[in-house]
Amino acid sequence: MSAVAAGEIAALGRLVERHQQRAQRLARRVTGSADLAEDVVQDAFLRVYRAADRYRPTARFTTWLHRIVVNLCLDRHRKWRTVGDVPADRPDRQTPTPPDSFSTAETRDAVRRAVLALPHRQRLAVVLHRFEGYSMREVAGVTGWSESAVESCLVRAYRQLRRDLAALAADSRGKTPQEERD
Amino acid sequence: MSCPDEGELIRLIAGELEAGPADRLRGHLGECDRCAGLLAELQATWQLMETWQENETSADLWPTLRLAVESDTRRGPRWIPSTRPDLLRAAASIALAVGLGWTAGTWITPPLPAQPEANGQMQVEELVESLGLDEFASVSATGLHATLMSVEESESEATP
Repeated sequence: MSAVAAGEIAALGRLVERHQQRAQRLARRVTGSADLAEDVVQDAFLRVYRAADRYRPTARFTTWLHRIVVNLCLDRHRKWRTVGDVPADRPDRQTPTPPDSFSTAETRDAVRRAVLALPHRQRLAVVLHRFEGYSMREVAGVTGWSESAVESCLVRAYRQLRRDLAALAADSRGKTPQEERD
Repeated sequence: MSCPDEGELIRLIAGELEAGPADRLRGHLGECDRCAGLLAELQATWQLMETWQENETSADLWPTLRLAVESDTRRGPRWIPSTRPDLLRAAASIALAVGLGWTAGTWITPPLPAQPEANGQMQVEELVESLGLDEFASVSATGLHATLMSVEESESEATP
């Protein structure tokens, strides 16, 4: 980062190479769109370059970068909500009709739909906690929310996911949804 | 141990609990069917989510980003908020207004009228005070005022 702060463009290139995959994966899961994720992550790295001389290594670089990515996702979401077109909110909250058995692709699509149908803050918390492997305290560090706010957000999110994916979960445990409820 | 809240169960699945609290919770789960059932549901959901693996072949952002950074660098030093031309315009307007106001003020304001007698009187009073003579006599009694005035008059006569 000190080399980036000194204006060394090649050093920024090395940072991008090291971190872009994970940052794009995070943004894709939050926005639900590969194009938007690219746009967000590109903007995030540009901000890293501009703010490099103000960077203080109090947190890991990854945490700092992910905080920027998350804030940009939230900004974009606010703008989309203003114009009434939130791309990742398009999937309908539909509990999949349970067939006899789910293929892996069907399961993946159902999970994706269920996560993208969550309210934005809950989705953000779940993506950071379940998919990026952050603890609740670390999620609080990335989002700037309190740890108790993160916990209550995650409890509501996992409760909703449990409902939406009940059929799939029962199938994976060898039970019918009715047996699962009983 | 009383039944834990869902947040505790989530922390247990995610491996966020310390060994002690985790053992106590597991002990409770062995005795409470309701909590054990809830944990099983949470675990099943947690494992299902594993199937959403994002495609790892993300686009390489560096070629486009490099162009953006180079154009950003050419635009000027980074301390200038190049993305906020509105701020730059506002700052320039304020500087111009202050500059014009100061210039106009120096041209229009008339000079203060000269007050030699009053100034001379004041200088004498200050001198008497600083010497501590005001405790013993009035200003006129020291003779300093008359002396200073005569010096000033002789200087002004000598000046052509």
